[in-house]
Amino acid sequence: MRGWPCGPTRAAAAAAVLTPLLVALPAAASAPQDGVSASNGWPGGPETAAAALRGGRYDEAETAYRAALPEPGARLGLAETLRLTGRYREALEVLEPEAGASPLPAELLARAGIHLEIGEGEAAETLLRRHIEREGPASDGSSLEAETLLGLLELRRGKRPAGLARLDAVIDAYNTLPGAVFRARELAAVGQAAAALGFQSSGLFRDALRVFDEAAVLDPGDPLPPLLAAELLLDKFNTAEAAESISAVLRNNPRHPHGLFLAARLQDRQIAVLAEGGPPPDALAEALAVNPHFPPARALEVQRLLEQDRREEAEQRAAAALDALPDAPETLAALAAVRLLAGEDPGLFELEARYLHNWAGDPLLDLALASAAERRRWYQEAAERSRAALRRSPDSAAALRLLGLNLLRLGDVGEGRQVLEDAFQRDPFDALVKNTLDLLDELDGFARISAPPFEFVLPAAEAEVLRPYVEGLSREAVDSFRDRYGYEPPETLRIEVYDRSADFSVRTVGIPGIGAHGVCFGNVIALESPSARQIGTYHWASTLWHELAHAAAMGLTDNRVPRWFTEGLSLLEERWRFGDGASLPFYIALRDGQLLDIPHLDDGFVRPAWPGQVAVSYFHASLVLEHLEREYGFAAILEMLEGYRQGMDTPRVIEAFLGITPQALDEAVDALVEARFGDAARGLQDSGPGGQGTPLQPPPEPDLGIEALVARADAAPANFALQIRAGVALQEAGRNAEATERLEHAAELAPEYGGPDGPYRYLSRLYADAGEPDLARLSLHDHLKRFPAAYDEWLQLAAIYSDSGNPREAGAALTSAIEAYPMLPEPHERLAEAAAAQGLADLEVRERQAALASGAPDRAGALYSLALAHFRAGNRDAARRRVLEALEIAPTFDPALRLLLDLRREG
Amino acid sequence: MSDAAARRPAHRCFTAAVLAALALVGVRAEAVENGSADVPALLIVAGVGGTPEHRERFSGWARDLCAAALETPAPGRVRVLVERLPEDREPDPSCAPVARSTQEELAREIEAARGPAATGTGLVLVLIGHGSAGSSPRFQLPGPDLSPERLGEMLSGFGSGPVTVAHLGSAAGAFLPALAGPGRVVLAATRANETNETRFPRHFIAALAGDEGDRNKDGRLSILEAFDFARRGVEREYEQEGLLRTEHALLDDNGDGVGSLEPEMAAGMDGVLAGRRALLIRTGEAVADTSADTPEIRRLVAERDALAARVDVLRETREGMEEEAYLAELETLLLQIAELAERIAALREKTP
Repeated sequence: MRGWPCGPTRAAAAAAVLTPLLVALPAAASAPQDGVSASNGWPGGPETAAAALRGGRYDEAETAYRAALPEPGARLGLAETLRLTGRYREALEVLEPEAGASPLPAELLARAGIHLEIGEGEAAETLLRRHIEREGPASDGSSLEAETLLGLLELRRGKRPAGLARLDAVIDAYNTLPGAVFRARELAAVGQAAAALGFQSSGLFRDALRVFDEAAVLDPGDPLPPLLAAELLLDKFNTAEAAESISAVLRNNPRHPHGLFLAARLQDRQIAVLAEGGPPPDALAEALAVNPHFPPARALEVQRLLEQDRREEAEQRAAAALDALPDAPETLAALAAVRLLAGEDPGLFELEARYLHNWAGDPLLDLALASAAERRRWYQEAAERSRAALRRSPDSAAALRLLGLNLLRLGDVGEGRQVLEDAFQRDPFDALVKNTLDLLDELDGFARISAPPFEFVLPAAEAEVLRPYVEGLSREAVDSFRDRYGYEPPETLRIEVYDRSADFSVRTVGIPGIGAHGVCFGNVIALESPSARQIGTYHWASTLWHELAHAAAMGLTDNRVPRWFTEGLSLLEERWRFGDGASLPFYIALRDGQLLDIPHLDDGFVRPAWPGQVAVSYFHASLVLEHLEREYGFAAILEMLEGYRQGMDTPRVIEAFLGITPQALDEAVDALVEARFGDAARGLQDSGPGGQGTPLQPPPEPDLGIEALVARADAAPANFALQIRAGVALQEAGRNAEATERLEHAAELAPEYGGPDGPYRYLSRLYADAGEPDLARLSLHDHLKRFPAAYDEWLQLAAIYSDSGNPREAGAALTSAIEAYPMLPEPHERLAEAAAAQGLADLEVRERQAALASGAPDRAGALYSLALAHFRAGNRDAARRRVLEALEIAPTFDPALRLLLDLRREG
Repeated sequence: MSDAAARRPAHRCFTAAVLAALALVGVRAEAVENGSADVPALLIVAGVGGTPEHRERFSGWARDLCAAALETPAPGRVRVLVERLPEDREPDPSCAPVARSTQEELAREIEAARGPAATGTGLVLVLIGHGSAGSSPRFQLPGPDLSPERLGEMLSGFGSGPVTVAHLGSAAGAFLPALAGPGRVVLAATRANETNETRFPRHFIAALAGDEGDRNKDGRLSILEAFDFARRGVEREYEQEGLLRTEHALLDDNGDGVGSLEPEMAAGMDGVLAGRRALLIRTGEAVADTSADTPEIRRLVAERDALAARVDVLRETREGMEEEAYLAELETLLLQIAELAERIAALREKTP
């Protein structure tokens, strides 16, 4: 037996336990299948047929192999061709031995493989045992492929001890047989055994990859080793290396259904970038075009439909797939997921029983259910299904990962962390687990503040600044949603704020790179700290408001609200509270007819087809909800939420509570969109090249120069983007009157455009320069209503109000600046002054505290100001404490010394 | 000290803290004895801009720096050299450049600052512009560029007299080894290999122009306070913009030629001399402190400063004390200072 190394640590996984094997085999044989000698009697020769098969020219391969029948190699090649193209029964018939003939070992293996692929475990087991009986066991160095397949099968069928022993024996054979020379497929089998046993020693995962690589070197044309490597890497969320392996397969055979399926899985990760020779745009469709019955691909198709809430279609596809291959475990699991999400318990139980009859030790079904629940944000259900998977397969790192992550989403950080630690022990290469554990380590250093019903988890260095604003806004939001929705928050609503985007991303999806700012898991909200993004680009307060609106919608529907509805509602709430505008991509999508209809709006969130579609879908969904509130009243929205809670889908909810068809609602929303945005969107058409850029998002074209730009804007008078660009260029050139005219025209064309470079921003400056302070102020308001993240503009507005002796409005503008970015002392200091001017002592204290905490450069001065604010607010102890702190830094600071004397004399 | 200073343990030993604090007692006393005449001459050099925009920026900074110095109640001698002399009359003639910033003019001005016409209280030389890195680092001037060695020669006449060089340009750290020495404070906006345009000068000028840089509110802006203010401002700016910092300011004043990233007034560290040396005197009171108009006020000021020094000592021993005991002792000292300050103010009001 091999000796297991010490348990791996997170920093460095254990060393390899397989003995490195130097093999010197001749270059891969050109025979169509290992172990079968080629015949020279074929038309075109066996090499031609094999090349056609490996290149994905299946018709050509089939013709060549059929012509060479009954050559054994031709039978195998034909069967493989038929298997890859989904004609499983035909493939089995081709391999059926003639009466009285004894099948070749390779034929037994091939038949077993086909039975396995379509879920006929018992038949596969029989064939594999026959193979081993005839060829000898792994301990003799024989039947490594059959032993591995059988061992894996035994594990899946609940014969765990036998399966583990068999896989052990395969690895022992590899390690201990002196002078043994292995074929590529045998090495691949050893790799599979190592990967399956990886939970016992993490070094085996690395060994598996190494052996797959060795196999690939031995037979570069065989797709199996890179496919196995890719699956292993995908399971570990190592998408970059998985992409390389998948690309290697698809370069040789762009029509390999398994390769295409893995490419589709990779596409689902959304962050993968395939190397040269990457997958076609829709790899899954391609895979199913080649092999319409490939069970994992069919299951993935169903999963995607479920993600888009297309339940009926999902059920139809899953049922059809099961009609074709009734035992395929992947499709059984997919249909079970449909039943779970539909709340059809009897149907689900029947499917579970059917599945478990054959696959008692395989957690696949439970994992599929857990994943489906997780994607629907039913985290409790996901955790329970993960526990079921663990009962089925106690060492499943995937089940541990799912359980741990979902416990964290439920706010159970203690158990979630423990489970993830267990997962890490079994598989230290799982990037999601590793990243999340690292994040939890970091969270240990965060400040935890209990303020029922909230629990705030804030970066320690920022907690003092953030806490009053995060807490104040959270309370305001919950009060607002209580009034509007009747929402009652749970006992604990946990709000985590991350000062690093990568940490927030890991919390959300387990890996860095997510583009979002906030996420709501129901009773747990995570968002980026304002410090995680550049000033003026991110509005933390509206993000928190948005996520709290999700918490309300999810809470009211038991997490059953569809994505588009809750996003639309959250953005609508955000717009009512803070304002927002339409983006340029929204106008372009409208112009190009890319806005989705309502039944498919979820696609824009869960499966975006083009860059920027998610953001456009947010705004579009909010317009739908805005229409609902205006036309049907908010009560209708509440009824719809209740309908979702009862498990109704969107078409039924629309019909039941609005009394119209989804199509009619679509038409009404289209009319609204057309009325408000249609002309401006069409105006972008007559722009010529580069007509879609704005000053801060210029098109990728050479600088036109001002006259050419103006000429182009003249030629496209309905193009608001060009008018803004021309207006800004004119302003920069000092041609203010012309600039003003252009920008006013742009504002008329697209009054709801809300980018950082909206026309009002520039108009404000122009009006100020023209001595029109009121117009300048109003323009600033117009800009900020459409782009509330504009921190500098809020400060400008506050200055205008301060200068005109209006501390109340100045204070409101400064509060808004803080809602955009609270991490700098300036707005706090100014708001404190405005508060002092109005005699608002408590507000002054809060702002002086924030100014100090946000790193006011003059610390002694800031401490003194805070002491004075406390003094004015009657907080004598706090005043004393703070003035002592000021004087500790600056012992001869006269005003502070006077305050200290005043405190003593009055006390 | 070196960049490695950043890796030092956060908690220094008690003895070092007390020694450093005791050194401060001397600082305050020294300031009083020196009187207002300890304000050094200020020589501001704007180097080659390379582009009209940079030329204007550098000369603008030089002007701002000069104006900030002249706005104080007790300005020393201030001279400005720029790449090109302006064709138009300067809006503020007192900050008009006296010459082009060539090596010859620079040498002449340094010599003049040392000569009998100057106050003899030392020199602060501020270099604004582009520096270059590599085996032969330079500060770019019209005509031949300035090497650290050449600048060292120009300054050699001061011996161990009070000289401060503030190189605010890129690759400034390369000048430290050649310029460091007894009596010298050398401040560099960047490490030797950091060649991006610097943000440090804006913050350095802000330290001189406003009140916020005077951390201990004693009315005197020390070189260490100005350095700290600018350093923190740069750090904050990079952090807010989410950018990787490409400039790390250094200060050397212990003569070893190796700058510290976070100098402080602790024995043996870079920062002691820079903490003592005033760059500007910002308030009338501080001028009065140093001129000590009557014997009684002078005695009271000395008494106040001695108490303030005891606050410094107490602060350094805080870690070993109970919080309330510390605060009580601190308050006792501060109340004594407050009463003295009140008496000083009253006496000053009475003094014609």
